[in-house]
Amino acid sequence: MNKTRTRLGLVATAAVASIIALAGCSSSGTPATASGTPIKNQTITYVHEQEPPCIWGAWVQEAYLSRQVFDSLVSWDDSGKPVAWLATKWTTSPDGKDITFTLKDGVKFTDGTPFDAAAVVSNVDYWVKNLGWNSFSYLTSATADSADQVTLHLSKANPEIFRELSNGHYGIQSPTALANNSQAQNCQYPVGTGAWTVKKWTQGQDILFARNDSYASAPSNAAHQGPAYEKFLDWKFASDATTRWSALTTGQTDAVYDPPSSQWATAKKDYDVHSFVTGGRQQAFSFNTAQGPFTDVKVRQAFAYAVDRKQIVESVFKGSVPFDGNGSLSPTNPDYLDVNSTYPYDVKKAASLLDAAGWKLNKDGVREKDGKTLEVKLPYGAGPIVSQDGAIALQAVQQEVAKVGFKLDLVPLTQTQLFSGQGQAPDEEDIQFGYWVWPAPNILDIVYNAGTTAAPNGNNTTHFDDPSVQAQIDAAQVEPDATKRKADYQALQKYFNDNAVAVGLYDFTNNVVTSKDLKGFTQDQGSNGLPLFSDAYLVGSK
Amino acid sequence: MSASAIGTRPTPLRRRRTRAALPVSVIVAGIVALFFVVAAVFPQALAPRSPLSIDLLNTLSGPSASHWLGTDDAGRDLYSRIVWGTRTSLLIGLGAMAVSLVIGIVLGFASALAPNWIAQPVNRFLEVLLAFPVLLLSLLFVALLGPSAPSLIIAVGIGSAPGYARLIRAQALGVRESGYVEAARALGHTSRTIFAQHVFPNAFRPLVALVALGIGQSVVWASGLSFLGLGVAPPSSEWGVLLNAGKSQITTAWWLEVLPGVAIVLVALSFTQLGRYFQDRSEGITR
Amino acid sequence: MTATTVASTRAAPTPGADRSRARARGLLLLRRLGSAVFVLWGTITVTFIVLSVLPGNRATIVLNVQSGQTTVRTAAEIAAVDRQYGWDKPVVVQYFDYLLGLLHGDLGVSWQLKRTVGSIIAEQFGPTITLAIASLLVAWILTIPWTLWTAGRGRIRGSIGSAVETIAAGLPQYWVGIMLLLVFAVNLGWFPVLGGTGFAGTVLPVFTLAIPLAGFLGQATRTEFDRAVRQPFVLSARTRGMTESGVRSRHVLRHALIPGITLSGWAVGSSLSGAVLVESVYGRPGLGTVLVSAVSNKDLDLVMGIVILISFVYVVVNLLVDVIYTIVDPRLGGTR
Repeated sequence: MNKTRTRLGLVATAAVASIIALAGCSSSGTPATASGTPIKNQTITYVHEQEPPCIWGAWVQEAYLSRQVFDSLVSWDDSGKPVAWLATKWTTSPDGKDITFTLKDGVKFTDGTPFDAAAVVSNVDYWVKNLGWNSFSYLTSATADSADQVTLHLSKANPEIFRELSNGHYGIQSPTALANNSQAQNCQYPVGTGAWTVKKWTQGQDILFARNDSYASAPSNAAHQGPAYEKFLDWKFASDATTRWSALTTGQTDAVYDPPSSQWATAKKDYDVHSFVTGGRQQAFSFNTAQGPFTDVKVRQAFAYAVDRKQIVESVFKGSVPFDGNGSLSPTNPDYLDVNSTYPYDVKKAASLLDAAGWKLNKDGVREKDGKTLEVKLPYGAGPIVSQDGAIALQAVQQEVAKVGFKLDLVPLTQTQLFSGQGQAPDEEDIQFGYWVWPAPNILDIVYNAGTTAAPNGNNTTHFDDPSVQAQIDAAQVEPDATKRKADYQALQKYFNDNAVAVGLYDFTNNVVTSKDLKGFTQDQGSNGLPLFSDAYLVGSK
Repeated sequence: MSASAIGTRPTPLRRRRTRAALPVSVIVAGIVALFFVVAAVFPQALAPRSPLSIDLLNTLSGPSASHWLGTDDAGRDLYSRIVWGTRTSLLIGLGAMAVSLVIGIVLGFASALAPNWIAQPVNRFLEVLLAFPVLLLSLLFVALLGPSAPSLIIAVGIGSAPGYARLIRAQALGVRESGYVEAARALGHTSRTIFAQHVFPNAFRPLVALVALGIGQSVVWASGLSFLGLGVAPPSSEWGVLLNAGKSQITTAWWLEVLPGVAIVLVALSFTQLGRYFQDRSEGITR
Repeated sequence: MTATTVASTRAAPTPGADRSRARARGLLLLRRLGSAVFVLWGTITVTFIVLSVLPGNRATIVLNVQSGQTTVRTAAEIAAVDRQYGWDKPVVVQYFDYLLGLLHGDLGVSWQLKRTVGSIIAEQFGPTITLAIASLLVAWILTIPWTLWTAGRGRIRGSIGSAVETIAAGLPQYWVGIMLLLVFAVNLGWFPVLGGTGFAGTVLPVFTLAIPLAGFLGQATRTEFDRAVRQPFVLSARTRGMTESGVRSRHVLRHALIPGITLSGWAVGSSLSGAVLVESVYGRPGLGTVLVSAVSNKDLDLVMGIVILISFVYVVVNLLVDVIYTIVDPRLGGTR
């Protein structure tokens, strides 16, 4: 055992030395300019985590890929406004239900099909049919007014529609490809107007994107117009964080998604780190308000007080992911309300709330009421939804709530169980834990709308059902006045937080670490933080 | 997994005993095995600290006087986690072994010795199971039952059962044709007696070492399923869970990945060593 | 080794004309083929049944995977998907539809990847079988010299040899993978971390599978080696004046290889399973990764396609093992 230890110790030392040498190398190689001389027409290598089944689809993992191949009507800017992309300007009708876009001239899909109003109409039809959650954008159809003018129709006003349209899921595909190509082709080799085309997808390994040499439709907030600097983008997949990180430290790749959090400090020191907190709602505890002990607001609040959420997130994620107390809305979304100072860690308060709710400690240190123990189930999607660090955070939560008498059962679900909807029904869970990526504050409608008895809203993980609150949500999302809308939304967030219907734990954060030799890398600002390589170029040793 | 002793041939029972002293390797193996058995039965005697006690201010600290084997990413004491995880791991190992042995014995003997109308279909079924990818069997059962210790036991047990069945079948066939069974038959013993006194013990004996090895292998196999996210639920400190958790810290905290692996190897090694010793002894071989 | 092999090795050689021997051989071949077809049919049927009874509504999975959600679906939504994929038909009808398609060479379409199963398998099979076969070869290359060097040569060498084998056989495959990756790719930089399917990228995955496998082969070979050394023919070879190393490598080893060779058929199957873990550690394409996600998502056609393929490989490898067996084992030579 000792032997192994020494040897590994040596190896680790060697690793540190080589990293230092590497860092020293790159800084001494290009001493004067920070950016260095671009070396063009090379291959950028990026290692991502999850490999989705198709380039385009409704899953957020697919948006990462769609964004490389497709352009959208508008792009979201750092300034918090939509800017021109495939559409050059737009107007909204007085009732907010019709938006007319004027389209960029002379853009062609990579299969030669011209981009025009008819193309947008086919895409809208395609989205309505194939994006399972499209109804939350209230987009229903589109009509071509002329060759370069198209009107999108909404079922109700949606002031945030531009944030949604700038999202990777609403990328525009060639109508010829949609109509004529096979499902398999549109899945693996779809056709867009974007900066890259799919050259070869080797399932289980990588997707090789080739530069679109005639690219002329970059968004107006891109760093440069025209084709990408480098010739290829090799987008690899490795589900293991250590593997990804090692690929970066050995110089095998120029950028990696989500490094191990234990390497975050090193990443910040020796590489460039890029973080983007996704829009929507955060990794949050959704309490079951329909059934079980959490129907009592005191019990929900006690749970929140019992956990030192901030400390847990800081210790587990080591700065790579921020704490967020708001369980309803992400800080990236407009109209976000900061509630991080509410429910501070207070074991006494938690205990007294539980006492007041009638839950008394028994001899095992678990609370009891009417002969039932305070045992609560928390099913979660281990892997695709909750990372390994996330699972550690949950275990820390488990330990802290045990101190006030909760017996928290963590139930990791397999992918089969997760996607077949297990652990979602009110009688199968007491708390759910997860996130929802969505660009607009009407995420409240998605996660708190009860739906109808015939078609309950499955995204409502709290099983919250209050028509008067729902009416406020409905009113807020069609409110044309920005200031009023903000006030309405913040009042709603305060309501959900005060009543502890859902409380947040940590932000769902997209982290990308890039080598110092890769310049110009950015993340899309339209709620997903999708990595962008069309403005990126390599410098230095390559 | 089941395969190491496929080469063993049925050997007639000999009653020759040697009085050689215990080899050192067996003594060491015995001590190691004893340690893990104690760890499984009375973990608190070996590791008074709780394996679940999280200390977020003391994460990923290396081996030291206060934490002999260091701490993990939640600040839990790794030594305690390994000790307390022994029970689950060994239970999975033993359980899976038992499941596959029972299935293996039933199918193996049935296919070798039962009347044709039973043996034939069983045989065919065995052929199919053998051609079936082992991992797929395990995957299907875990997906079916959800990730937990019982489903791992069943998944791993069923996954390795066909191998044992084949082995037992081969042994039983060999023993059936052997001289002493024919002699017993000639002496007019009933087939039940022959089975109980000759066929079963002789066909089964070579499996003893295999059983010991199989326990270690089942632990390894179960940890592989953990690696795919199909293992026991954390915060259990089952060794597969530890290995799975350790891999993401490998570049910063090697002990989290190396030491649970060492525990698995130690169990596999000591059990196999003991199994082999007892097998040899029963066959009258000294080494 | 399949049960038929056991039966056939026991079949006594029938003395007689060449013609009847050829006929017997033809019959044997037919029986083998029949048995192979039966095994394939059996694995298909077992998989189909298990996947059909697996909890988790397939239509719900389709809807959730395609929308990135995890919700409970309404009956209407489920019915629409079932109709689209033909899952509203009775299971028995679906089963015979599948078999019928199979007879026409149609392996179906993966709903998940929206591609034909045939094309997916064609793409993914190469890397996996390369890995499986290369690791088996490397395992043998490690095993033979190790056995010759340590087996039947006194207690100390024997114990060391056996201990190393036991350790190797007990190593968790992905643990080996991570260790090799850490030392040889991350720290020494001899091999790429994400190797792909090229030669440099295949070395570490192959050793990851080969090391535990060599442990198994070594154990089986050593046990038999120790037995064979004590056999009378060894003594007689020695008395004929053969050198010790000659005896060991020509006579004893030949005997000792038999269990290991039998094991090789199993080993290929096991490597195909182990490949899943290795592919995950090294980010390598292959059937393993595809299989795990296909099982998780109840992508029935894809699972079936892979099962058929693996069973097929298993059957073929075991036929090969039988052939090698007759060459190596002097007692079985000539009759078949």
